Amino acid sequence: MAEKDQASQDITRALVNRELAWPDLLKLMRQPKSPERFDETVKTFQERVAWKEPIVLPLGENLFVVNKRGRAIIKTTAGAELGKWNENWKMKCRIIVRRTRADLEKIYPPEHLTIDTQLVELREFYCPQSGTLLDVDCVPPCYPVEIDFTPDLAAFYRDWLGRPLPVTL
Amino acid sequence: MAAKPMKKIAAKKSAAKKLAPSKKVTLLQKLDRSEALFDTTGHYQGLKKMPLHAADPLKFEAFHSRIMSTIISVRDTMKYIASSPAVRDFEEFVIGLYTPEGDAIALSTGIMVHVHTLSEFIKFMIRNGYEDDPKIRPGDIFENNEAWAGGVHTPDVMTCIPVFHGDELIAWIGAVTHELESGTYEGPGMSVFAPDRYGEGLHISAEKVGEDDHFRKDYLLRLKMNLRNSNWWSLDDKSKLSGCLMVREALGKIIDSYGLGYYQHGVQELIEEGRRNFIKRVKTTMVPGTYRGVTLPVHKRSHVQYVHPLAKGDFIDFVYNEMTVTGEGHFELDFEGSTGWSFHPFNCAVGPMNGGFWITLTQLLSYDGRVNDGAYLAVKQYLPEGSIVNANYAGAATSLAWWTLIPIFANVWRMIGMSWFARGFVEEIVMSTPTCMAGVAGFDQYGNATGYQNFEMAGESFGARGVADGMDCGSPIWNSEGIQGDAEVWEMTGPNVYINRSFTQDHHALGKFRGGNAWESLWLVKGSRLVNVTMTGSGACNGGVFHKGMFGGYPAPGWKCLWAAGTNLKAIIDSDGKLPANINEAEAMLKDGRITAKDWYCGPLNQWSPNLADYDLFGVVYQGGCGYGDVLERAPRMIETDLANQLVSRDYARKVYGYAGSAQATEKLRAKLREQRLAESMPAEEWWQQERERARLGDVDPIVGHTYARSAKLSNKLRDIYLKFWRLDEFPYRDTGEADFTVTAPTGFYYPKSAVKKPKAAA
Repeated sequence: MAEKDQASQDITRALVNRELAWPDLLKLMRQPKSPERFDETVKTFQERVAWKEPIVLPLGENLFVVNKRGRAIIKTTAGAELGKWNENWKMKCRIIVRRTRADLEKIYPPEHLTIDTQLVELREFYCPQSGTLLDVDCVPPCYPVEIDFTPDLAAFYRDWLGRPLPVTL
Repeated sequence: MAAKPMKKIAAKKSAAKKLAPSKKVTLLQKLDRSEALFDTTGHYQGLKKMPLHAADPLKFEAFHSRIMSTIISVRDTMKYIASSPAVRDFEEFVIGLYTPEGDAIALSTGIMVHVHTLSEFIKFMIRNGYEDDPKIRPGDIFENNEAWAGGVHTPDVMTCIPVFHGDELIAWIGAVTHELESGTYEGPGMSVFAPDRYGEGLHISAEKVGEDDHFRKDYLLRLKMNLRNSNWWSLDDKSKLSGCLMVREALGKIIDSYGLGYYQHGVQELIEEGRRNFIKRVKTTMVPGTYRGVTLPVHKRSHVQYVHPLAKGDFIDFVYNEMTVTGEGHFELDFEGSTGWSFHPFNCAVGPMNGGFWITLTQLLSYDGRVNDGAYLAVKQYLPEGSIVNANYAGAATSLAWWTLIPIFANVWRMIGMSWFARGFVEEIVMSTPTCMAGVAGFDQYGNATGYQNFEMAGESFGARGVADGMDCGSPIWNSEGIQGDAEVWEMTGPNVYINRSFTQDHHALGKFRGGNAWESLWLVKGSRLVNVTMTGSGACNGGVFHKGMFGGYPAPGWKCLWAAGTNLKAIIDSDGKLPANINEAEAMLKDGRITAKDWYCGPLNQWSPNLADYDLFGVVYQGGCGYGDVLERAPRMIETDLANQLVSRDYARKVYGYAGSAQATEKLRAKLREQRLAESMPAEEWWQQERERARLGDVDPIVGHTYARSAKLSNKLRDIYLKFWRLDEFPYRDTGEADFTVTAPTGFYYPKSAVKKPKAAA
């Protein structure tokens, strides 16, 4: 049994690290979804970060809700802490706003670029510690900065996973 | 083998007897009863238990397999009866089986958008009293492409027949094909410029069009007189009818095998099982909570010479979308905050929005063979009346509702992907495709009037996945079976030859996993002295973006189109000169005079060209979907593959991916680029301080200002978010840029309505 668990954890680790070959990925897509996957994924992410706070929920490739002394906060892979779990973590990031054609030409080839910067701007949100790009918003100028996901942690842990919520909300 | 226990057999007989249908119940009574049972019990038809499934699961599964295999094999046969290239070559059709109340039981592969639109069509007929007039009888054929009757747009034509057992209606069978030509003012099946429904072609508004298993002659004459190419439509109609009749015949055999009572109760259990499976899948793979996204299709039309005055404007159809996965495993989409409908064909009604939701559900969450209306019972859409997602003007056009639906639901795919990521199912994440297209109208190489959209757009490239790049040349969000198809088919279809169809280098959405690469086609007009083209990009990317990427991925750089009238290309060909190899080269040649033209355009704005003739040019760059993850985390081996395939140039790979050849050099360059990011960026809170004054003044382009004001005209949602974020008391946007007028919703008939949002409990 333990061997089976280990094999499953190894596959999840390889998945999170994007080390699975396409045939193995296809197999995963076709298989029934394992109820262990969430815990295996959290365990893998936990192995990859240098900090100790337990991960409560992965929010992005480099962004997590973590348990810091019983409170849920947002933390990046590099360790930057971006506020409470349900607050606007983007406003704790560093930002580059691309609002002119010259700004956009730094990332897009001029011959292909047809985005109208009068109507749309790109806002890049970076981890303040590592410079990792966490998110890119594409919005009209002056549009408020919003977070894309507010999890219902209580329903997820208590009702769906059937276990106590590890943090106080 | 052990004998079956007598008790079990008796129980089965009793269940069938109890379920024997009453012959005097009308369809309307059945529909009312079904909805009331669901409202009071939360289960389809009140099925808290599923006795047939419980009594003999294997028999139940075999029963379902008989239905599914019938539907799917019939679809394949239909393809060879159909006439239009859209059906024969590009898979633009579907067929399905429905309960007497109009609930989907089983659908073939194909344009899954119509799982529920057909359902709405049947319910429209029931709720509007068709049982009394025009009556529903054995052998009748009903047809619809009407958005008010559940359809999406004029080209999607539904054909539906009732199935009787004795004098009792026991089922409906429906099929849908996409017609390339639907009698629009412009020519191609989907109008880009119609201001209202009166320019978007032939409406068949839930009508009886045949009896005794034959289309009526007056109906076929109507097609002949109102369409440029009625053969496509009428032969596709015959294909759909043949399919419906084949399913009807097979259904008779299934009922002979299983008994009528088993069939009638069994299909209800299938739907209830579909509902339960959907909730189970949501709870197994997702995370409850609220997900947010916006899409902002930019439409520019004021530059187009031939646009109706009502429609001559530039605007953004802003859509605010909150997706809630509830603790019960239900799925809700709320669009409050979106801007209003307008005089253009990009409006959505409830039918199109249900269609858009269905392509999402069937491709992402309800794909296991139990695709039926059960899933619909676990989802809700709140569509504000009068908004772009629920136009309430009786004359609203929906001919290109897809230009609103595609970005909305592609963005929903992104939001579902975020949920899968949080749960650990990264292998499921996929972002979808934009759609860009060229339409051709005028006279073809055979001297006939023609109009069609080139459906090679069905091969547009995907957005990135959570474990791989977006597929280069994939399938569209609206049809998972869609393909680019053979260039030769399109050369036979219209007066054009391909001088290029290839990938466009350095044109994709950036990310750890990139969006599928753009590809392009460039055509030479051949065989016509009088033809013109309309060109447009979905999410109408006239300077907008499709939607945002995931976790740091970018959107693609945009689409582009080209036309050139009165060119010297014949002279170039006669002298063995150089033809353009792609659109950018054609543009360069037009600029430097190697190609001369009386008039030409190359860029991202919607186009309706002047008349073109032999040796004139037109073309489209089909952009791909969005990227995933930080571009500096892209694996060097993936960059090297793109370099080998010439999808990315070495200079661009260095500039954006920080690729420097060896692993060591690449990591060194990437470290430098990360430092550069930190140096060039500023704290977001500092940016907020700087930007607030601009937000207070509303110092934005008039089109953007109009968008904010148009949203506030319908709802305080976006206005309140704006004021709270910028800590302001006054919303600076008042001018909507449009006339202040009111319209009336359709009256005198039932049509599909939005779910009603429960008022939030007081805090």
